[in-house]
Parts: sequence; structure tokens; C-alpha cells
Amino acid sequence: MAGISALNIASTALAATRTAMDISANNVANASTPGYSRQRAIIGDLVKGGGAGANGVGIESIRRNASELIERQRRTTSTSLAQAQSLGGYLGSIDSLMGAPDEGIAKALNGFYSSVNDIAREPENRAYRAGLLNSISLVKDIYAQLDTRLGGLRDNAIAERSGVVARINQISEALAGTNTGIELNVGSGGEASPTLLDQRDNLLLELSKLNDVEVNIQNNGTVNVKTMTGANLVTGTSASILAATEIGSGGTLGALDKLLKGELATVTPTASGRLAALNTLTTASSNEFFEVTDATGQRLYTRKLSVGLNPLDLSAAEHQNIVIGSAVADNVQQRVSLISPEGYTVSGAVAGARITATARFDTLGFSVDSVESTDTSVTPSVNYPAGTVRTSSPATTPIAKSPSLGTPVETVQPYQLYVVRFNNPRGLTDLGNGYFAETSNADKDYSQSPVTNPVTVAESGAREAAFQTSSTWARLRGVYEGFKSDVFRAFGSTVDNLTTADLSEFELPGAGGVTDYQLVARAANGLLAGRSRTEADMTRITGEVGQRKVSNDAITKTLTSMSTQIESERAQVSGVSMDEEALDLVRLQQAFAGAAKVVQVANKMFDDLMASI
Amino acid sequence: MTRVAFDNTYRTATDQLGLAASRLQNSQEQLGSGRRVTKSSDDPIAAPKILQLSTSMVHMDEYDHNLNFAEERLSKLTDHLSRIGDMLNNLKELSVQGSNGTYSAQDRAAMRTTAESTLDLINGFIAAVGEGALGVDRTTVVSDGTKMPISLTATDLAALNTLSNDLGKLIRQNPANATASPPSPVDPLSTVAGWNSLLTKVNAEMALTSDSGALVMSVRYGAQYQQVDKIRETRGALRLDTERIVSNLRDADMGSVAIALARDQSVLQALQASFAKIQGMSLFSFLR
Repeated sequence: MAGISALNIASTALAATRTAMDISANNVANASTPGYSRQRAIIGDLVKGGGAGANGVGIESIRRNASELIERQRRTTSTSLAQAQSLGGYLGSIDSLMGAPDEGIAKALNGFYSSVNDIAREPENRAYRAGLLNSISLVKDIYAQLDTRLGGLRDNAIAERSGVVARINQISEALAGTNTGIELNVGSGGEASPTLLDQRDNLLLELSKLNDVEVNIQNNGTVNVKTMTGANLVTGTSASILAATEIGSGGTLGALDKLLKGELATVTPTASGRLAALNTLTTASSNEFFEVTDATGQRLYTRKLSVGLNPLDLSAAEHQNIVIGSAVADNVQQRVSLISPEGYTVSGAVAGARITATARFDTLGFSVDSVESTDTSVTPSVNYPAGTVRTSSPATTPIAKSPSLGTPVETVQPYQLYVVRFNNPRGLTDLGNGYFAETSNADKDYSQSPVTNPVTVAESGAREAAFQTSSTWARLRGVYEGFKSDVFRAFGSTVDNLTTADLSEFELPGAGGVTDYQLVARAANGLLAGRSRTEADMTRITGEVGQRKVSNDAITKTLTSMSTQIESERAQVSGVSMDEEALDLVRLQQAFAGAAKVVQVANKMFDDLMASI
Repeated sequence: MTRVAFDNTYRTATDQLGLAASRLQNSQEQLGSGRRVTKSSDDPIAAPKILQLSTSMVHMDEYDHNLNFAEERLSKLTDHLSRIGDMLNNLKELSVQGSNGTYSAQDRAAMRTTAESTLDLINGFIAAVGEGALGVDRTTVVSDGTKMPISLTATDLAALNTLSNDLGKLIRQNPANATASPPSPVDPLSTVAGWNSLLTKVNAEMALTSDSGALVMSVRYGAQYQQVDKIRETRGALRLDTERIVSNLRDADMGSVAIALARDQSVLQALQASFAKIQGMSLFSFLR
């Protein structure tokens, strides 16, 4: 019957319109929901199987406005942007920690060198010694603060990294759940719910921010996800757990790994190379030996590093047999105490006399700057062990007492300096305090003697090694280690233990005040000699810290701009336009009114028909 | 046709407002601190340069301290050396008189007493110039690559000590001389020959041809002392120049920053006002 059909048709229209209005209302409600895609009802006329004629209208499907291309672009850009932003945060912190270029540790180091300059100029002025200690203390404190704060940043990064890995695993689980939902939708003959697809895309976007991932969307709308390093995260409806040790290839995780392996890395004291050697030398109590070899690696002799200027109370017989000597890396002069050494012997019966020698080891070779004796009746001379290659021929070179500063009296070359550690390999009698004695007067040329367990070959400079890591933290530590070792070499005590008493050790009893002040000034001048390198290092660090931050900011800015553009494009496709929704509502309202009118007319027709009966 | 989504307007506004506020904060920071570079990233090209130049100003400060010290030491040295020169001149005049045979033994004895007093004064000044020498050639760096002495060199000090000894032998009475073989006068200035010897020694010491002579020594250290003002003057100009460059690199141009602040403020206000207007515009408003 026509009237009944019209009513049926109108009722389908009312239902479809109402659903469409619901969808529109949902669009308006979610206009500001992040990641929401505008949904639309696909309305179609209902067709009965095989029959012709009008059957009404129905909702064929509810779809979302989305572009897979744009979603992929969003993910790619988000990965890079998140990485840059995460790096930027930490680089900004490092930049702020370093402060103004002419403040902080650079200023403290300048203060230290100014104090050293005071001592070099007026070694007799004891007030400057306290000033020097204060300036050393300041450098130490400021470095400690920087070290702690940088360590704090590293700890933050480690904690954040754990959080990121945990979140990646949560997202993988959630994506597996979404896949299950989508499969259910599709499996029951329908289409994947727009809400589930939005959820899937939002999870993928968040995941992309955390790490660079490869996303494969299946025909049914489910996704398989793995990291760029090949670790599976989501396969169908099951999720895998990302190992905590997995290296991030991008995004926040990539940034954190980059920071933890680069910028926030530091050279540990156990690392190989010169830094390790310096650390060992400045902390070890004894048993550290310098070994000098020629250019072919032939071991010429070994010498124990003398720490400080503590006199030894040894018998004359022991003096004959002490294996002791000196060698110094770099151009920094070092004070060494020698007591009747076999390597450097004092002519005449001088057992018990204390010899102070300064020597240096540089690119020209091993140079003895001076040898001075506390025994004024003795003119010291240097005897080189057999096998020593020297630029001048005499086996014994007399050296005047208290020679003038500056001109090396002897140069030996070409040697390479290796630092080796061995534990009393020849069964020497341990005299304590790091000194050993032998029971015979055998030749002390150890060129043919085996050295057990040489642990370190140190050729490159500590700072250079640190700078190779391109890490601000490691570089700062390199500068600080250099500072520490310079102080140690100059004054024979670590920066932690140095006191005015250590500085007063220069004033050796019996040697005469004149030479003592000369030694203080020489130590200070030795420190000043290393100054330009420290200054150059600090300048380099300062420039690089800023440059990294600015470069990263520029990348962030570009990526932000790209991201804004892509978000805008997405909004054009998937966003909710209020005007559009308002127009749709007007249209649906009118459709609803029309359908209602049909019901009204049909009803009237039905009433009229009934009345006529 | 471009679809304008609802939250696009808000996102754009938020981004722009954030940028404007950040610019405003930057201007405010510069205005507050007076510095354009408060951290390396503010200008990574200028930052290392600022550090380098600031360090070189620290060097200049140290050089100034060293120079002041050298000036003080050289001033004393030249003063004392000059006084030794004066004393030698007195001795010379005395020797000229003493070597004149017309004076009586009594007169020569009186002149010897004067010579002894003069020698005491000379020894006093020698002791004074030797102070702080510490037995080494002490120098201090007063500018890049330039050193200046801050004490007598060991050689000069030795020469003065020799002078003191030699004058002592020529002036002072020595009872041991009487028992020497062959015996020599206990009072060397009791004879004309003695005064002649002293005159010869003093003349030699005052000769401008002798590097170790007290007079030449005085001139040599005096010349170094004269360098102080020149070095200070040169450095003054260099320091001003360095300070100017550092200031240009580091400090904010307050005028420009103030203008930038006003501009950023206006931009922020305009953004806020335009957003307030746009956010109310929707077809829904007309459907009421």
C-alpha cells in the first residue's frame, strides 16, 4: 500500500538523518580533539534484493576523512622533530650550564693562571701561595659543580630513556589491541571503525615521536610495526617487548641514545690512552714506572716516577742500588728527586745527597734541564744507561750547579714515551714509599729485561683524546684533567691535597734560599707554559657548545615549520570545519523536516482514508 | 577549495603567540642584563671570540701587575745605582785631591775617613740593589713576548760586589798588611800612590766603555725603566680597543633592544586582538 510505503520510507529517512546529525554533532564535539578525523555518514537508498521501486534511505557506512600519505608524512616529520626537540632541551641545559663565554670555569681558569703569574713574578711572596690555593680551589669547585650538573643531565637522560622504552612497549600493546578491534570489525563483514583507525594513527604518531619505526599497513587496516634496526614491535594482534638495551634510531629515544653516547658521555678513568695514564699517575701511590724506548720500540730503560720531594732515609748501600729516575710527558717541566741513582749518578761519594732534576719529554726527545744537588760540595753529573741514544757523545755530562733557567743542558732523542705498569717484576726489595732496591750493582739498563703485563701505551694527549669524543662533558674533563696533571707536575701534589706546606717544600733546607725560589718560579713558569693550550681548549668548547645548540635550533625550526604545514594539510583533509558542520546540520534539519512532512502527509492520507470508510 | 578546520585557527594563533612571547622575552632579557650574549648559543660565532678577548684582557691585567712591579723595582734599582754613581763621583773628587802631593798626611787621613764613609754608603746601596735578586736573573713578562728585569742580574750583582771588595782593599786600613811579605801599607790611602790607585779604579768604574761599570749599569737599567711608560701607553690603547670590540660583541645595543621590545610588544598585542576577533566568527553565531 502506497501510504504505508511512504511511511516506511519516511521513517528510514528520519533514522538516517538522525544518525547523520549524530555524526555531525560528534564532529562538532570533537572539533578540538587532537588526532580526531572528521567523520561523515555515507547515505544511500535502500534497495531490496532483485526488486525495483522505492525502498527508502539508509546509512551505508561511516567513514573518516583521512589521507594515508599525510599520516605518513606526519610520522616521518614527528620522528625528526621529536629528536631535534629532545636534543635541543639537553643542549640548551648544557649551554645554560656553561653560562656566558667569559664567566664560569673559563674565568676561574684565568684566575688560576693569574695567581700562577703572581708566583712566577714574586716567588718570595708567600701571600701569593694562599692566593694560588684559593684559585685552584675555585677551579675545582666550579668544575665539580659542572661535573655534577652534567652528571645530573645524564641521569635524567637515562631515566627518561627508561620511560621512553616503557612507553614504546605500552604503545605496542595498545596497537596490538587496536589491530584486534579492526580485525573484528572487518571480520564481521563491516569496515574498520573510524574511531579505531584514528586511535591507530594517533598511537603510530606517538610511537614515531619516540623512535624511528617502519609501519606497514595491511589491507584490512591493521598495522605491523618494527624499529629501523629490525626489532619487531607489533605483528598483527601481538606485541613484542622492546629490549631496554635496544638502540634508538631516531625520535626521542634516538636523541637520548645520541646524547648518552656522545654529548653526555665522559671518558672514564679506566679508558685507555694518555688520560688513563694521567689518572693513574695522579692517583697511584707507587709502582708507576716510565719506560723509555727508542723509535723502533726497543726498550731502553725504565724509570720510576718520583712523586713529590719527600727525602728518603736510605742507607748508603741502598743508594747504590736504587732504581729511580725521571721522565716527563709533554712540555711541562717536572721536579724529580733523585738519590744516588744509577741512571743519573752523582760523581764522588755523595750517598745521601738529594738531587733535584728537572727534565722534560717533548717532540724533540728527552731533555734534562738541570740537575741540582743539595750537597754543595758536589758537582752533579749525568750518566746515561747503556743503550741510550744521545745527541752528544760523552757518557758523562758534567752539569754545573744551579744552572741558569731555560736552556736544556742535554737532549736525548729520538724516543717515544710509553707508560707501563708492572708490579716489581724483577723482585726488587720494596723499600716502601714506592721505591725499590736491588741487591746487586748490576747494570740498570733494562732494555733486554722482560716487563710483565704492560697495560697501557700512551701516545696521544689526554685532551686530544677527550676532544676526539666530541662530547662537551668529556672535553671539559679533558681540560680539568690537564689542569690537575699540570698542577701535580709543577708542585708534586694533587689539587685535592695541595697545601701551602707543599709549596714550601721548595724551600729545601741546606740548599740555600736562592735556589728554592728559583724552583718555585720554575714550577710556576712550567704551568704558564701550558696555559695557551688550556685557553685554546676552552675557546673551542665555548664555540662548539653554542654552535651545536644553534644548529639544532635551526633544524628544529625547519622541522617545526614542516610539521605545522603538514598539520595544516591534515586539518584541511581531516579537521572539523564548524561552518561545514553548521551547513550540514541545516541540510539535515531540512531533510529531517521533509521526511517528517512525508510522515505527516501520509498520516493525513491514512486518516482521510479511514474517515471515508 | 581549502577547508578551514576549526582548530587550525587556534593552532596558528597559539604558535604565533608563542613565537611573539619568546621574542619579547629575549628582548626583555637583553634589556635586563645589558648583554646580547648571555650564553654561547646567543651567538656561537661571537662567543669564542668574546672568551678569547676577555682572556687577553686578563693577560693585560697580569702584564699590568708585572709592569707595576717591574717599574717599582727598576725605579729603586736606577735610583740606587744612580746614588752609587754619585758616591763614585764623590770618591773621584776626593781621589783627585788625595793624589795631589800638596796635602799633609793629616789631611789625607781626614780624606780617608770621608772615603770610608762614602764606601759605607756605596755598600749600603749595593746591599739595597741586591735585595730580591735571589741569585738569579729575575724577569717578568710585561707584554706578549717582552720581558723586563725585576732585579739586578747575577752578573751585575757580582760586579758590584767585586767593586765593593776592590774599593775596600783600596780604602780601608788593614793591619794584616803590615805582616805581609813583602809588607804593604796598613793604610793604603796614606800615600799619594794609594790615592792614585783609587782614582784609577774609580775612573775605570765610571768609564762608559765598561759594561760592568756602575755608571753603564745605571744607564742600562734606567733605559729599561724608561720603557715602562711606553709599554703602558701602548697597552692602554690596546686595552681600549679590546674592550670596545668585546663590548660590541657582547653587550646589547640598548637603543635597538628597546625598539625591538616595543615592536615585539606591539606584535604580541596585535596577535592577541586579532585572535580575539577571529575566534568568535562561526556560522553557528548566525544561526541563533
